[in-house]
Amino acid sequence: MKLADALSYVLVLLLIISCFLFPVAFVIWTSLRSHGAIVSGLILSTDYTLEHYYNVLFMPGYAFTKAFTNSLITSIVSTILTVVISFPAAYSIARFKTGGGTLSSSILLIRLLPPMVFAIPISVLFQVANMRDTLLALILVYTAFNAPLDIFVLKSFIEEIPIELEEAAIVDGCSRLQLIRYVTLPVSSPGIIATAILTFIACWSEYPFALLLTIRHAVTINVVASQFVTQAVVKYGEIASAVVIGMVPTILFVMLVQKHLVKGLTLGAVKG
Amino acid sequence: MKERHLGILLVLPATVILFSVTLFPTIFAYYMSVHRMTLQHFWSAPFVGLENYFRVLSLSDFWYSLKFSLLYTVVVTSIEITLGFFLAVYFDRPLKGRKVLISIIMLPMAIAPALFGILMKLMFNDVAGLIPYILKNLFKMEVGFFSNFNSAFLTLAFIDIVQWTPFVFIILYAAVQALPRAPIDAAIVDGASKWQLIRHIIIPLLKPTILIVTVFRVMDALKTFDTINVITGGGPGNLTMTLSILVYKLAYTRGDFGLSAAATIIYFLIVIVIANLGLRLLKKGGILA
Repeated sequence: MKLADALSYVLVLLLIISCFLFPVAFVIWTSLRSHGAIVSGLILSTDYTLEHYYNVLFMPGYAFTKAFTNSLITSIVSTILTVVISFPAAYSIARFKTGGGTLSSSILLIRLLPPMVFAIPISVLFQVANMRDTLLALILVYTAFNAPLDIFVLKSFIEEIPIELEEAAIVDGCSRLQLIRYVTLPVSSPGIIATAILTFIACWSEYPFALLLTIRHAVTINVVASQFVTQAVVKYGEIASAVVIGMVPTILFVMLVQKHLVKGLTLGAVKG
Repeated sequence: MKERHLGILLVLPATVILFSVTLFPTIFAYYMSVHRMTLQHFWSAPFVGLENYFRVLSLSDFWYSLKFSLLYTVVVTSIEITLGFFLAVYFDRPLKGRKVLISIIMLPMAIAPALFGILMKLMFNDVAGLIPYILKNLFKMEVGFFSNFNSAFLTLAFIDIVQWTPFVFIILYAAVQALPRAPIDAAIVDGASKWQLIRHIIIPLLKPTILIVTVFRVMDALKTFDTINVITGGGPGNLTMTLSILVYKLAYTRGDFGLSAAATIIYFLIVIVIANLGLRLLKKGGILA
């Protein structure tokens, strides 16, 4: 029995390391190997370099720095806007049951539909409005399509706040808006922060809309990196370092909100 | 009465934005789908009725990508749920380095799917990739990972499984930990084997959570675009074409916006039907109001 336990532990350990750690370690390792070592297949070569990072970030003609900035701006602004419109909606649905089941279901349905279904007509519409390839267009779309996630997560956070807290405030003469501002909002701040981080990760990871809505000015890190793969096929080290640069912010954030992740990922529909 | 008005006022901004980015595009997609819309004749496109829909239905790429998407969804979802479930049950015990291991499991999920696709494309690359290197030097095998249907499908499914099993795991793990201990302890006292415990106690108790994760994974797998578009672009030929890639290619590679819009509407209807089935299952299970 003891042996079987040890054996199963080793097997699970191997599975986890080879499937989940290995890819990440591989791309970091590749980003640090010299081009010569990669091309000649010298696995054991100790010829390591930061050259690829330097090229990706500072070589003229590469759009990574701009794309990184664009991703950062769109993700931060969309996150703030999404939370700002989602919190009142979540409060209303949680406390007043506004819209009943229909509103909740339609919001959930939007979360389940493929973005590509909307992305093509939206990109044509933005083209017509002369707004394609602007950060504003991306921010608008990200704000809208992340609202379902935020509303559901915030709703489940608000529902967990004891109703007595609000009743006490009303007895003390608070109006409903004052109550939301001075009681519910501060009490839900941990939930709001967790939701904001999840939204940031979703914006940072978004690809189909970014691909269709940007051309040159508003390109995001995912778009530039995926174009780079097809254009610079053999610049393996630079491709790897672009991936590493793009994955650092989200990996950091995921580790930060690990505890709250479950609620966010299931839209708070499951009591975890 | 006044509370109701306030309630409506509070949901208004989010609802207006949400419906304007979904309703208008859907109406516009319908408009495009009944016109012969190409890049050359965009605004002077003639009305063609249902012609584009008939063209979609006689398009072999459409039927192929529909089959591909459905098969892909069924295969990756079932493996991810199974694997995630067993990992979740396995982790529900004192383990050496449990916290670190859980953080490691979550890594792939923390990477943007497009970037993860690029990463995997490198991993399977003939020159820079370690997987071909290991196969070649250890097993004397040379595999064209994306050269035929079976290997391309398996490789892409493997990549999806690596990226999304963590999602299933983390949710089921939280659910396993929140299970009531009494029935589990009672079963152990009564001498239930590990398998009996899983089969008769844990699975029934976890059913609502398994159901909701399955609905989410099915819907997400149906819309697969990022990783496959980055890795193969739907190719070689149409070998790895999902529905999302198909509608994208019809519009932006072929320039046939009318055809793409008709395919989009059909895709939309298929997904709505499946999503409604999922939502109904969730409601029946009492998970959704």
